[in-house]
Amino acid sequence: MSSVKVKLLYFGAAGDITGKRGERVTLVKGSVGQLLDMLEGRYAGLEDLRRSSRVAVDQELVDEEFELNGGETVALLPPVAGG
Amino acid sequence: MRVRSKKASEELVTKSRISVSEVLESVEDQGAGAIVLFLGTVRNSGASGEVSGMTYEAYGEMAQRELSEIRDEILERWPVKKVRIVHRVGKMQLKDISVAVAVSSPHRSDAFEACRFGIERIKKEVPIWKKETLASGGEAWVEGEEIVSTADARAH
Repeated sequence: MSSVKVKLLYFGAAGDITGKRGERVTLVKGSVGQLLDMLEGRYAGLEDLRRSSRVAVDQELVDEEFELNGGETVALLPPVAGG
Repeated sequence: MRVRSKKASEELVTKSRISVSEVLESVEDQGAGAIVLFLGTVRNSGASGEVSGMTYEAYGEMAQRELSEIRDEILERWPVKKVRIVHRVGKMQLKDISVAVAVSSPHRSDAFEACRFGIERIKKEVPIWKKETLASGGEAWVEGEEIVSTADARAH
């Protein structure tokens, strides 16, 4: 199994839950969903937020099936409240 | 050829105070018979009670791009002259302007519609979050809406 490195960004409530604005992680090559599964194990409270959040890979919204190749910036976007 | 939007480097997300006069000047146009301006301001009440301030956070690069796409869509859909959108981020006090949308057009109905369209889209498509500073102490993220992509929104 090959591993990939991605840069994570945590916005809004995701920043409070993880206690950081972002981090770099190495994971077994897989989908965005698998990455989120891993993060859920690491951060209590992320499971609830995940249901209402979307993920952007390199600033494009993607589904959880999206396959990561490594080198991407993955942002966790809770419900937005601009304006 | 008519130049519709201002320079591409125009700041759509800013840490500075929003100047209403700068916003209005940027949409002035000799062919315009109307300018409609929407301002979003920080109010003193929210779902969690009395509010004493607000802190806005953005995914800067993506927000800049989404705001730019919303502006371009307005220019495509309505016969408007100029559009200026600017969203402020960072810590704000009550009454501060958090967002401005200004549209100039030959006739008022297009400017009203386009301006309304702009602010409604901003609330759904732009990665920006806000946290209330509560008068009772503490902070609370404002419950928002699931973000939708500009492409999805266009399809509806």
